[in-house]
Formats: sequence, structure tokens, C-alpha cells
Amino acid sequence: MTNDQHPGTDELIQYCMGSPSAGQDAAIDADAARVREHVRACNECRSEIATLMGDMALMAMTVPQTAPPASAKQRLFQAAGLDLAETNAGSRIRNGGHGDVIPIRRRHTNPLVLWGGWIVAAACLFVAVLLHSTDHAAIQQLAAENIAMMRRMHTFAGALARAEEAEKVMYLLTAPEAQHVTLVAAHAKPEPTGHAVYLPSRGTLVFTASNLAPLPANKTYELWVIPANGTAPVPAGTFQPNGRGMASVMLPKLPLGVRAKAFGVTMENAGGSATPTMPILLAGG
Amino acid sequence: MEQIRRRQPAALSEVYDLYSTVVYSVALRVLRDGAAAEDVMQEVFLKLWQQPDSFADRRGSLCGWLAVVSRNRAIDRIRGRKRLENVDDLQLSNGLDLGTEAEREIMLEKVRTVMADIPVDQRQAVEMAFFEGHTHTEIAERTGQPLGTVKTRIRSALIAIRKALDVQG
Repeated sequence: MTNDQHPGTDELIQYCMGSPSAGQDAAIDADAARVREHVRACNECRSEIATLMGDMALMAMTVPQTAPPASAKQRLFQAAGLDLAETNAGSRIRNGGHGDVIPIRRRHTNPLVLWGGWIVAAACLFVAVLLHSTDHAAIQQLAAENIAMMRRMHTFAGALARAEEAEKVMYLLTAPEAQHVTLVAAHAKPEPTGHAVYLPSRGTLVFTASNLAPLPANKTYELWVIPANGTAPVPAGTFQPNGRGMASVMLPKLPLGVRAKAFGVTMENAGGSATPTMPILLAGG
Repeated sequence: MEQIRRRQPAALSEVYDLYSTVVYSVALRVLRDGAAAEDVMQEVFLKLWQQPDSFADRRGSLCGWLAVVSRNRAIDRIRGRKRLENVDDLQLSNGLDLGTEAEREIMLEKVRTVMADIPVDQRQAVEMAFFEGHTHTEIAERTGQPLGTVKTRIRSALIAIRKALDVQG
């Protein structure tokens, strides 16, 4: 490769993942240097790299989510020469002593767009109730899907910014600092639960779950559709719970027209399985 | 980010609360050691606090950028090498719009599904490259596959992720 020739996609991938030598192998370093020099002057390759880096960032973020130790934040602030307690207190004082308050800005808004946002938000909550769901993951997912759709519609209409009110609802439903509480019978321990909405004629399925136990390393949960005609269970997607035990499967690839007798969740090796491994951890139908 | 540039500790606190799980989880996936992953996470957030301009808004999603930097620092550790020069400065695609936690989860769920669906040999190759920091040549040697096959598998896996994004968009 000369500096005038575009590096191949494979070279760019290797470049994005980092020169694996960095001083230990002259040939590898020379290749990386050539790519680097070319990329510096080539908008086309920089654009391709941006896309590849985006792909890699997504791949990185798909790892099973594990919350860091609680003490880690204090340690970070100490290392940065900051006082975490003072920072937290300052934050509360600025917000009038009532925790994080979202300021509400009023401005003139097209009423149709404004009501459209609320209708979408209300629809999200209504659907969540239909799902008999008290977990926020279902509400978040459904609301986000609808808001994302509304965003696209508003983009076409040139009115994206006017979805402000609906965004505030979304913020409340999705803010990490928002308090999420599932109410259960007194003294009862929250049990793992899942909710599936399935439309056989279109092969579409949305599944949300809460209170899931963390998975051992190299394991995954897998959802199954159990066909009513007695044929083999159909795999309907693998999923990992987040730090709060919540997870979802959105629109997995499914064959059309498979009527379901039941649904089940099993624990499988990472990557999933073609057949369910007993025991069935969650079941319903 | 503007608040971090203005040296507002509350901004660091907020960014930490939003993204520490992602940063820690990526480092943990690479290193498989909680203490080492915490060290990497601290390094990443300190870099952001002390050199906020290392993340330019034009580089795309802060969450995505932090995840990549965490991966890079973790790979540096397992390979015992100098830093991956320049890679942290690369721009991320603007198409990586991960505004809210819920939007992020929806998009990532799609990518997880893709990763679970791609052939095992593709997933193995791309994970060896990305999470273990192996070169294409090293992967070919370890798996006994031709170098060209390894490159194709890695490229195909990344293309599959991109297709998931296209569907999302």
C-alpha cells in the first residue's frame, strides 16, 4: 500500500482496533504508520473509520452489564482531588434540597405536536398497563420506541424540537437517578417475572423481564416460543439482565404463523442454543 | 460535557452515574478481573476529567467513546504494551445516537441479537480481535484458519452489526 492508495477495509478494521505491536514489532508498526498517514489526509477513509468505530463501540456496549463496586466512585473522586460528599450536598442545595429536579421551560408549542407527544406517552403507559406490567423496563422500552418513532416523524416535519413535553415524560421514565420501585405483597421477595406480547401472523414479539438473577460467566438467558402444534420450541432471542435485573427482547427473528402454546426462558451457554436446556426458569402460556 | 470542561464536580458525578456500568463492564469483559477493571474505569474517568478535550463532541456518542477507550486501556493491560496510540482520538459515527438509557438499551438489544445470531466462527473471530486484542494473523494461527478467512469473518460480523443499526434507523 502506498499513501495514495486507500487501505482495505480489513486494514482499517485492524487500525481501529489498535496497532497490536506499539513498539514490539517493526513490520506491524510500519503498516499502522502507513495507514495513519493516509487516514490523516483522506476524508473518505476517516468516514469509513468513524463508521467502524461506531460498530465497535456498540459491540463493546453489548457486554453483560455489571455495576462497579459502590466504593469506586469515592475512589475516583479522591484520585481527582474532589470531595464526593460535598459534590452530592452541593447538588442537593442547587436543586432546593429536593434531589435532582428537572427544570421545566415553558415556550410556545404547536398544540397538535404537544398533544401528540402526550398521546404517545399516554399510549405507552396504557400499553404497559395492558401488559399487567409494574416494571419500568416495559414502560421504558415501549415509550422509547414510540418516542423514537415520533422523533423520526417530527424530523420529517421539521418539528423535532417541539416534542419537548413528551421528552420530559421520557426523561422521568428513563432517568438513571429516578427511583424505580416494584410493589409486592408485604415481606415477599420480588420474583423474576416476564411479559411477552406475540403476534403469530406477523411473527413479531416483544418480551420484557424483571428481577432476573445475574448470570454466571459465559451464560445467557434465552426465550422460547413453544408451538401449539407440538413441534420443537422456537428460539426467540437471548438476553442479559442489566444491573437492576431487567431485560428485554425486541422483535426477534421468528417464522410467521407459529401459534404459541406457551413461552419459556432457559439459561444457555453464551451465544444461545438451538434447543432449550432444562430447567425452564420462567414459563407462561 | 461543557460542565466538565468548566470543572464542575457535579458533572463528573453525573457522567459517572450514567456510564460507569458500561465502562466497568467493558473492562471486566476484557480483563476478567474486578480490581483491574476498576483501575481501568478510574483511568478512563480521570482522563475525561483531567483532559475533557480528549473527547470532542464531534467524536460522537460519549457513551460509545468511553466504551471504546475502556476497551483500549484494558487491552493495553492484558498485552502489557504501550498505549494504543491515536485510536482514542478517532471519530465515532454520528449515527450512533444513544440519547437515553432506554434508546440505548433498545439499540443494544438489537446488536446483542445480531451477535447471538451470527455464525459462531464469526463471533469468535471478532471477539478475539476486539476483546482480546489479537491481530488477524494471531487469530489465524490460534484457530488454524487461513488469514483471509479470519479477515472475512471479522468484517462480516461488523457488517452484521451495522445492518442492525440500519434497521434501527
